[in-house]
Amino acid sequence: MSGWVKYLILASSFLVLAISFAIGLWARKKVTSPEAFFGGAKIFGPVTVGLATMAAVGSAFAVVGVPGLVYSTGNTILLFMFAAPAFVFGYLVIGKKVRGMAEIGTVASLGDLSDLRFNHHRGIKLMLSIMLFLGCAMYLSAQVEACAKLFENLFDWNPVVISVVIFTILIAYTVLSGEIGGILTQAFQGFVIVLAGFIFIVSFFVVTGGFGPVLEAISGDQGAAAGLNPAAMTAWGSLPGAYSFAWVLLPTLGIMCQPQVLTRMMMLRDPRDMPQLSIYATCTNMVAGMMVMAVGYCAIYLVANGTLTITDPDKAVFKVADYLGIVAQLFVYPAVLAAALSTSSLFLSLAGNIVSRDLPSSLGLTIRSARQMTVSRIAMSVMGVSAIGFASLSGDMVAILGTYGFGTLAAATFPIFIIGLLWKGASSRGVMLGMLTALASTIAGVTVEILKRFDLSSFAWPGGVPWYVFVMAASVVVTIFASLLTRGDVLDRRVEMAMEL
Amino acid sequence: MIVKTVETLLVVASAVLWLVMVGLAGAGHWLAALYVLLGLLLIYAVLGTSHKGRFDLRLVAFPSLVWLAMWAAAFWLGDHYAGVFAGRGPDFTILGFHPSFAAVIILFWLVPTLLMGFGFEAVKDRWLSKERWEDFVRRVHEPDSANADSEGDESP
Repeated sequence: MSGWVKYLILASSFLVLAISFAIGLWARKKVTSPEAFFGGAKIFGPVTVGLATMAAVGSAFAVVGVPGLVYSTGNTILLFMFAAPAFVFGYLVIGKKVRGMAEIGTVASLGDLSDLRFNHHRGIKLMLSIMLFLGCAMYLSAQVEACAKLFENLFDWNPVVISVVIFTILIAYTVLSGEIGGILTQAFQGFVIVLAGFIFIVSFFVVTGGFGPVLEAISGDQGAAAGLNPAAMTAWGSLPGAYSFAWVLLPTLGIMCQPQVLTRMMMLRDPRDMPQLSIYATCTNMVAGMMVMAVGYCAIYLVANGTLTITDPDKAVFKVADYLGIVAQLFVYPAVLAAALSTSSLFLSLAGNIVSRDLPSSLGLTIRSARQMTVSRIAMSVMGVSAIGFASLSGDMVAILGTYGFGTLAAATFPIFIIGLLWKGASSRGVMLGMLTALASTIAGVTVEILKRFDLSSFAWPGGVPWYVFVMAASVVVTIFASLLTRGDVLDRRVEMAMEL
Repeated sequence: MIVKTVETLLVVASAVLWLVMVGLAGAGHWLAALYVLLGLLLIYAVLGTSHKGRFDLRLVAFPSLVWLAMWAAAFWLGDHYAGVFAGRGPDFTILGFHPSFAAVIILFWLVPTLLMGFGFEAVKDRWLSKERWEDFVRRVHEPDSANADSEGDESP
């Protein structure tokens, strides 16, 4: 690759950063109150929220990790990417209830929502804050890692310096405009991902001629010689079946309670726009799904034909882009950056919310509204810097923790927001016990995985099912049975009305 | 009161299904666990339609139940053709895909996604009518005493 092409790619990536920064700066005008800064503004339409939701859910893992997994293990991971109906299901089942709760009072964070449903139960808020904070740390560090690796393929730059530059700009615009800027920049970044998706889909058909030739290539002698497994092209891919189960379950039940989805439901101007929002979210998600499949299949085709050699699956997307030429390169690098930025800005805001509002309130401390914004800004900056430090010290471990983030967040939020909003019988004490179970089992699960990674444990999860599935199940079951054994809460009439919507 | 009991029974059934599902997956029966997951989703779909003491089963039937039926078909066909052509190339393809994965593409992804997205728009008024939302907003912002009066007015 010639020098000027590299700098053109760099320029296109930094253009995404510059536009995101400009949007954040402009959005500052819309921050008319601390509540708006924290996410309490119900002012957005379905297109903005749909694009922002897709971008925030589709992290760098989706754009970099998934094509690599498609290349190395086949279709299994696509079950995760293709579970788009789960978005609609989430809106159908709890959308109007969440949006209804946001109408009752100032609901700017998930902690506020939990306060309303569980009568300001401080223990639940504390557990929620801790679990969300853990999930934020896992996700953020993984995004830093992805940003650092982004330019590794082009330049011999120090990954820490790259992360610092990108995250400084990200922190700056998130600190300036909070969730208002967050949702608008995420919508823009979602648009970039969709644009890159179309480019890749067209390129895939031009290069391979369709899906049939890919199947032929992997089934042929050259495919076998390249170490590719034809079983990868079946519905379940070449991974053990337990992964198919986990990767259907996780998005199907997990998407509706992810902070990226819940907080955006609350910011929709009119709840009756939710069906439209679901169309935008699912259609853009379909383009992203098609893109990662196209990249993974392209990698399989090119390797099976002996055109490319891929030693690190995580670099499959860049190898394919480099093969496709400058147009693909000019879009894929910005798309990876956009995916990392959108997820990072959401989790930075979430972390800021936790530190400045939810955690102090759960400990019985009160911080004035105006001061909360300052505390939140400091917290976001510290969190961003810590994520860079953690990512640079931990190496590959960070990517593994990143994949756990989704499960951790689902285990934390499912008992409160799904069981809690669908069942009036969910008691504070039941949910509290469920949350304690989630926290303890998450810590145990991560510890076991870390021990296994350093060959200090040979423990195998039953059936090869990923540990976070057991964590989710334990927290939900404990919440329900403990609620049955304890007395339900007396609910505010307005909360009952929202749950009855 | 009856609905409250039914709600509780459904929630208890969901907890049992969680245990059955994870138990089956842990015992290596992951495909059976996937079918149990569909039952679990159906329970949440029913609970999500609860409104003033009633479940809207028509809203459950479309689009959610149709979606779940498609997923069941996708799992069955996907597994069937993965078994039929195990260890060798498939005798035929659908849209260029292995028949096992074609079931996923068509019945797990494309058709259900469009069905759910546009189906939701089609049942929008049944899901949340303008009147119901405006009534909710009005009552939420009423003082407590006024609300108690208006609730009293609604009683037979």
